[in-house]
Amino acid sequence: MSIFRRLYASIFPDSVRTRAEEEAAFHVDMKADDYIAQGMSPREAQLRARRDFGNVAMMQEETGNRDLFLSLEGFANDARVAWRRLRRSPVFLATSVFLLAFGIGVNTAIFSVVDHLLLRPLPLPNPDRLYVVEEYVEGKIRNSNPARLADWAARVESFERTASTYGETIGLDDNGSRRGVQVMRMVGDWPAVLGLSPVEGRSISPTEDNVALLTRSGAARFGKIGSKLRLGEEIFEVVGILPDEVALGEEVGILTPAPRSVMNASRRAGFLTVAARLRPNATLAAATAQAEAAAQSMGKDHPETDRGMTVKLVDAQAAWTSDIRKSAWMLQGASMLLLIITIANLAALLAARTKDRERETRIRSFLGATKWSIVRLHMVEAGLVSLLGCFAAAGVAVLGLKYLQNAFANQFAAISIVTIDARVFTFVLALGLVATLLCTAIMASRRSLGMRASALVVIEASLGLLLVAAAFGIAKEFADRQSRPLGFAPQNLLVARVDMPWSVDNSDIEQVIDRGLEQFGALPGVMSVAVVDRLPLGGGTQSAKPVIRGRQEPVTEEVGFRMATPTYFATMTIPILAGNGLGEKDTVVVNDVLSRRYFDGNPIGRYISNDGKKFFRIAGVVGGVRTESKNKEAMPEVWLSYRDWAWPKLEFILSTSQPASALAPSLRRLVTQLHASALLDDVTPLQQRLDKVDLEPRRGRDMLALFGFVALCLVIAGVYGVMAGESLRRTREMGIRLAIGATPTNIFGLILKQALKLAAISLVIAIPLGLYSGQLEPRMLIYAGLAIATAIAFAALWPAWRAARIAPATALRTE
Amino acid sequence: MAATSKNDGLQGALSLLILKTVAHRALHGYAIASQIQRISDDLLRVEEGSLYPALHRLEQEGLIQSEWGLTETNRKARFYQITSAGQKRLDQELDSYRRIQRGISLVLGEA
Repeated sequence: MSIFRRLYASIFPDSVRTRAEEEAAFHVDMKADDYIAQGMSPREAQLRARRDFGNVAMMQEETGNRDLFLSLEGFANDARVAWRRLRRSPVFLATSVFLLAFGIGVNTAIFSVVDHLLLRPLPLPNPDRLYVVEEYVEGKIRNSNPARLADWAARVESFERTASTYGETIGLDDNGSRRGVQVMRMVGDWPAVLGLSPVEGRSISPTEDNVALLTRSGAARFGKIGSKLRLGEEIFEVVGILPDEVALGEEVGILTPAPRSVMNASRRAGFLTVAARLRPNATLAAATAQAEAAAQSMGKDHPETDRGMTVKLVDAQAAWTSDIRKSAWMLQGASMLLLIITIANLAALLAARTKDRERETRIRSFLGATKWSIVRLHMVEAGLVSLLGCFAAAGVAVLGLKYLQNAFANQFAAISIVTIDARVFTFVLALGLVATLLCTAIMASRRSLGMRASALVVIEASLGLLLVAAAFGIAKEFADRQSRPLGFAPQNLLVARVDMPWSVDNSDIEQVIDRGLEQFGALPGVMSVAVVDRLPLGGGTQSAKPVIRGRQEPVTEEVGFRMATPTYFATMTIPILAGNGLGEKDTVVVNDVLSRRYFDGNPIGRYISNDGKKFFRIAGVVGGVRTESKNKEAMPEVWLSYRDWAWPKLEFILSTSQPASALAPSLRRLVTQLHASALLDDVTPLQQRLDKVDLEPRRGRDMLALFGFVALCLVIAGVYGVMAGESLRRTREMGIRLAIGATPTNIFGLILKQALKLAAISLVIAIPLGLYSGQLEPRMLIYAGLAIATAIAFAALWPAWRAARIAPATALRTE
Repeated sequence: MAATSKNDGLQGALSLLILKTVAHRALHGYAIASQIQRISDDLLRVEEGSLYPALHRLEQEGLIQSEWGLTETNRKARFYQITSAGQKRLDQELDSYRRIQRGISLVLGEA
């Protein structure tokens, strides 16, 4: 007994239900008496009377329903009836709830990302006054430095102030143990630019030394106002606590001013993204005009670095979310498509139930139900399914969001601030409502079942085709990416990243590398050790326009200037193509890209410089390695020895067959002895670090592949449902055809043809649509079309086969 | 739905029969069914599956009323009786039925 029924019975004890039961019992008894009078045995009479009466339960049900419609037009009662009806078909219920949960849940997860990061203003005061100052030279964007940052603030009247930050991992001494923590180094008054002020304590001026601010959550981990933090070699006093928003989603608890050495960085340096807050009454147009003038004046004052510089003010939100914008919208679009397919499928399922419903509807109208009350019942039923779907969707959404956060964490730290809140939840409920109304409309529609279901299948298949094409496209892109030669062999290599502060002396870096090479190399099982400034594919590089001695026209392209130890190439199995490897002081090697582009493949003995002052002799040519990403060809690079080019973030690469866990403890111990401020980040196989680079595209591919797969399954299920219904409906026709000489093969073909017709219509709709969108490759659309057509044909096989093997006599008897 | 149910021939006919049958005295469901069957010389057989829903609908529309009572054999049964609204409806329906019947007969030339 359902809960509704129990509730109902308790409120209305003399309900129509009990009355109907008693009446039925009385009726049967009376009739049985008559039969006994006619000479039947009592038992036989009772049975016969009961049979005459028909299914008592059914009668009760129908009488009960009538009662619902006419005596109590309450929602609870509709829900009761709808629930009873749904419970009668658990497979339908489970399928539709599952479909909705998936469709709505995935949409919710993605929407919460889109909403928090792309739609909502940044969680900061007056976010509309916050801009990013983008510097361009020769059309290419470049990073800024403290000198230019200060210039922007001084020369652009509309800027209230400018600031920037960069992150650094620094060793924090905590009760005798040392661990690496992320520290946000501020250039300028960063909290003020964001519009934030300390919730406790005071703010700090950009030139203060040895003071730190904590975020509110950082305070929980690192201490309170007045605590002393031992970071690297220095001691910082905590003077203020800031709201967490100051970190913009990064997992950072500590903020300090940038050290003096960094503040005094050369105007050539580029490592900052400048954020600017406009004055309250300033307009963007005025600020842009002033910034353009400022760029020109900077070009005049500092022609060697800023000549030809142009500037663009970009809304901070757009600038900070640009990395994720495209992926997020793409996923949102794909998941919306999937949701539409899901709802279409659900509607098709509901339409397929209409056959059994038609009888019920007839009985209901006969019992006095109005058309509206029947529509209302449909609506309540669809609403009930949607509601259950929404509940389950909440679970899917939470898991989905976790997955997304994992997928994008590397690329976009702020995704961690995304939560599923009331606003997003409203969105889910709205989706549920839309699903409800659509399904109701379809159930209440008066069109023939076949037409309705076919139309739904065509919608499903068309959208499914687009999704599958997108999934194919991204899978191909990914496969291409994987198959590209890397230029090195990552097998049996471990990476140990040793961090030192930017402020550390060059001679200290050299010393750390020398000691590291020696001590790490002495560890058992380690074949060779090398150090490089950045791992391949990690992105980022130091670059400059080189000056080549003896070359007339200047080089206009930026080439990479990299640091390595001589052992690097052998350790990474990067081939030395000509000459020697890195060795003596004041010599460099170049990669084959640079060699071909600027020396016709014959660079040995020539001289090259990064600043036009100090020239290096080219001693050899090495193979090119993809530096930025797998999608970009190797760029021209110059490799300098660590003795000539210092870089404090060291990647130690160890050639060994030992697992990372076996070496990590000894490495950790050795690193603490290398230098007081040296910090071992972690020890991982190189392959694992490279995989991280692929994580986001891989997750993107997996997600789209999953969407595509689900869409295919839905299409198959939808077509199967329609075709099975169709062949059932046409059983009699098939019987006649068989009787007048059609072969089973003909019948089989007939049903299959009908399915293929649906496929053809879908293709005709979807392929031009996909081409029109401009986002999908024609070839992928054709493959997807084939996949969908195959799926449709496959789904029709069983109904077609069943129709073909029906015995004519059986078919003809069917009504 | 109200009074627009004339388009439903079956429903209209059954209602008419029931109203007529309970017009003069209260009867229980079984008696209504047997009476229609008996009076029509077994030509009309009211199935239980249609009878009770129809009774309930009529009652809902206020055309008949019902109460528990005892049969001659002292069994508890639900007795149905026409209301004044029902009587009025019966008269209207009979009227229109007769008109239609006459019309049909005229057309068929059997008058």
